[in-house]
Order: sequence, then structure tokens, then C-alpha cells
Amino acid sequence: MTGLPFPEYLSAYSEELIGGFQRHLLLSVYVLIIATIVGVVLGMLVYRNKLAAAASIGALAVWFTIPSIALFGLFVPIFGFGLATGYPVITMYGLLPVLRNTIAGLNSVDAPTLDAARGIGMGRFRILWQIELPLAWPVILAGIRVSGQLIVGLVAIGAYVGVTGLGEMLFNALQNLGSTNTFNAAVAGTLLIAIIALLLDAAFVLIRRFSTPKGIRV
Amino acid sequence: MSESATTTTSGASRQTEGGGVPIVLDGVTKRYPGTDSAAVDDIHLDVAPGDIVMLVGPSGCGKTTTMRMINRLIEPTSGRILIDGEDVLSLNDVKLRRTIGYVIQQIGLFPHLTIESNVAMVPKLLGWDKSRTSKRVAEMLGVVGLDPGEFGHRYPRQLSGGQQQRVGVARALAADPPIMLMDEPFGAVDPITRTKLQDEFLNLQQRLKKTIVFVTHDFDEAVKMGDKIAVLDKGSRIAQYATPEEILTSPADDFVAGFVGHGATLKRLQLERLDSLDLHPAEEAEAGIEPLPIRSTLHDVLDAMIADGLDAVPVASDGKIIGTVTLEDLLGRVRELRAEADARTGGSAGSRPGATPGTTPDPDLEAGTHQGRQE
Repeated sequence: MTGLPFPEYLSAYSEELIGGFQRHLLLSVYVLIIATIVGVVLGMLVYRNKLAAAASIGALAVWFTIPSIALFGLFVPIFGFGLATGYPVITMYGLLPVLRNTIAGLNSVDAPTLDAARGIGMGRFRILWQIELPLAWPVILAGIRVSGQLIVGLVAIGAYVGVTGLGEMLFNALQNLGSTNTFNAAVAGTLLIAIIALLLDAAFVLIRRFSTPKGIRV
Repeated sequence: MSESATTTTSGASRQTEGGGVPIVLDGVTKRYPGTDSAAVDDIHLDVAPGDIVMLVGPSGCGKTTTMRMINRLIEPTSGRILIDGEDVLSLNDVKLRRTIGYVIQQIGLFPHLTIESNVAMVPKLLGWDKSRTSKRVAEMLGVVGLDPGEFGHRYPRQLSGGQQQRVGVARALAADPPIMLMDEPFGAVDPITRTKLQDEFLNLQQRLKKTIVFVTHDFDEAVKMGDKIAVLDKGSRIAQYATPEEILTSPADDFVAGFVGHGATLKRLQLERLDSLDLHPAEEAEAGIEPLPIRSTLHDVLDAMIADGLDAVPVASDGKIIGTVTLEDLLGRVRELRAEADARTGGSAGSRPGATPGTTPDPDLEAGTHQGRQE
């Protein structure tokens, strides 16, 4: 173990660390937003059709079983090195929890509620927007939250294909372990990624609190 | 709730309601693909404006399907459904449903919306402005006996089952539809609440005069609530379509008689009120007997007589004793009803089991009614 004591390392490299932290957080949030939009919209399109729902979940589940490193490797020749590969691949991983929970949530709205909604003259789209989505929201949000955790980790691994979050620093440090400050860098990178994950999670607790309709809050 | 009482009455009296419109089912059939027999087979039914028509029959007879075709939650395979002379199949189904009140057993309130928002849903769909909607919502909550100030901002899960169904009825009535469809609306609440809701709804209907198609499997409910009852057999075949009185005194066939069940005569007495009898003078009344109100049914009178071992009971109107009724009066009235029924059907009703008053022991009379009284 060589290099500065940890606290001094932190203050000496603070600019770099903060920059990495910001990039990692923002990248994660961007990917999560895209995964959420795509996942929820896709879920709304397929949830009424059992076959389409099963097919879309199945396809993403297959994707999910493939290790991310392998997929990054597969797509680099096509999209090149950098975010062009990182973004879509990570988004695809993040889609599964969102899609699965969107479909499950929308289908969990109980039949009498829907029957009443139809019976008093609400149209298809209005029922989805005013009844099903609000009632499914806690379930969908839980999916987005899981997806968020997943994405924070994958953004780190994305460093292999040039996704410039904290992963870059972490993997550099691990490859050169023993060199000056590498241990510090590894610890700092790991801690910061964990902090991002915790921050995101805390954010979801708040979002859940304020966005869940009062009548169904537990 | 003391404040709410005033809101309720003033809200109710202010109300102006349009009455009902006629409904005609003309050869309506529903056949699901891949099934041999039709769920609803060529049903013809005329519902007069302002009437409550009870669709009653065993499970799977197609009564709910029949009802749900009226607001096109289920599309008929063939036939015509006319509401106020207009074929509903030619209308936009979603817009059609906004003009038809809909109440179901499971209530189906929107759990994420306040009671107010639930009731306001149809007026909103119809594009009413905010002030008209909120006025109407408060009025309707009052009509169903819920204080708008106390309940308006609550959520469905904070209400009891009975209160929720009151909201369900208020939601259905909110846009003042001429027609109501009700699918076992009081089936999921406890018996005491059910009786209360039934009574209140009947009172409400006296004023509203909606045309109501009401599905139930409970024949007693049909007798109590219905202006007319359609007894349905498999495939929604109408076994009999008549007033409760007619069905009780002269069931069309064995199926209907079986559905009416035991104690038809006693049920018939539930439809007769004391004011249909000529009372004996009040002087004949024995002192010390609790008088019965003039609005009591003959069933209540008989029940009181049996419970207390009396053969004469005083009758009161507005707390004043106005006469006496005797057991012999009751039996006389029953004989009259039998004679009327026999005249209508040419004597066939006489062979019906359990229809001979006074001689055949009736299970209701021996067990149920008496025990109920002893509690």
C-alpha cells in the first residue's frame, strides 16, 4: 500500500473524485430516465395482450442473463467505443425491472374497479391514464428503483467501453494495484459508487412518498 | 352527524330530477363463440319508465349478461335494445354509458380518489363546470345520507362497506341518468345494512322515478324492490314477467314456483299494508298492547300476533290509535287474494304447494319468523 493516507488522498484528488462522482451520477440518472420512459411506454402497449407481454419480458430476460461485459464486447464493433455502446446496452438491462413491474402493476388493478370505470363511461385511454396508472404507480416505481440500483453498477462496468463514470478510476486502480495511491483510488471509487446507489435509493423513498396517491398509500 | 341531517334534507328538497325513460329489449341474443347454447337467448322485455324491474334467477341464467348488454359492456350478438326509442347499438358505447347509472355488488370505487372525486367522475366526463359539479356532488352525498363535509375528502378504504355502496349509488346518480343498472348492489353488505340500504333506495326511487334494471338472485329482494319481476331460466328465458303480487299468488310454472319457494303466502303478506284492510273501531282495542303503525305490512301484523299470542292488535297512525285488526281480518284478506289469483288463472293456483292459508303449516311461520321475534 503506497501513497497518501486516505483522508489526504481525498483532499488532494477531490476535484477528480467529485468530477467522477458527478459524471457517474448523471450518467446513471440519464440512463434510468430513458429506461423508465421506454419501459413504462412499452409496458402500457403490451400489458393487455398476454402474449406480447410474455414475449417482451422473455426477450429482456434473455438479455438479462448475458453478462454485461460480453454484451459490451459484442456492441463495441458496431457502435464503437464510448457512450454510443454504453447507453443502449445499459438501458436494455435497466428495462427489465421497469417493464416487468409496469405490466404486473397495470394488470393488478382489480376487476370491479375496472368494470365500474367502464360502466360509468370512461374510455380505454382514460381508464389507463386516470385509473390504472395511478393504481399501478407504487409497483412501477418499485421497478424503477431496482433498475436504478442495477444501472449504477452497470455504469461502473461500462468503463470498459469508455463510459466515463467512477468505473474508469476504479478499474485503473485495480489493474495497477500496488502502485501509488491505487488502493486509495479503489476504496474511494467503491465508496462513491455505493453513495450514489444509496442516494438514488433515498431519492426513491421520497418520490414514492410524494407521488403515491394518498388513498392507496400504505 | 347532527349538522349533516340539515344538509341532507335541504339538499334533497332542492333537487330537480328528470324521470326515467322506457327500455325495450327486442329479441336480444348473446352467443359466445365456441359455445353451443346462447348465454342469452332471444329475450324480449319491456321496461316501463320509472319502474324497477328485477331480473331474478339462478346463477348462470344470464341475468347479469342481459343487464350488461343494456349499456353495452357486453355487445349483443343480435337483437335490438331501445332506450327511449333509440337503438343503443347505433350510439357510441362510451358516451352511452355516461347516461346510464351503473352500480355493482363489488362497488368498484376508485381507491386512489377521494369520495368527492369518485362521485364527480361522470359529471366531469360530461364536461360539467367545476362549481356545478361540486354542488351536485355535495347534493348527491347528502341524498345517500353521507355528510359531504365529513366524507367528501375521505378515501374509499376509510369507509365501511355500507357507506361505500352509498357512495357507489351517489356516483351512479351524479349526472342524473334516466336509467340505472344495478347488479346485486346490496349483496355484499350485512343483512341489517342491506335492509336499510334497500329501504332508503326505495324512498329515493319514489322521488327520482328512474327506470331501473336490478339484478339479484335473492327472490325476497326482488319481491321487496321490484315493480315488476322477470324470473329468468337458463339462457335468460323469461319464465314469468309480472308484478311481485302476481308471481307470488300465481306462479306461471313449476320453475317459478320453485324459485318463489316456501312461504309464498307469507311473502305475499309483505306486499300488503294495513291500510288495505277495513279496521275494527278503535274502542275494541285492548289496553296495554303496543299498537302497530298503519304503514305496517300484514306480515308484520301477523308476526306481532303470533309472537305475543294475540288475535287482535290496535293500529295507530301518527301515534294515535285509529282502529283494531284481528287475525280473522288477515285470513279474510288472504282468502280474497287467493280468490283474485284463482279468477286470474282459472283456478290453477289452488294446486300449488303451500298456498292454502291457515291449513298448511308454513316453515317460515313455525321457525324463522317466530324465533326472529324472540331475540
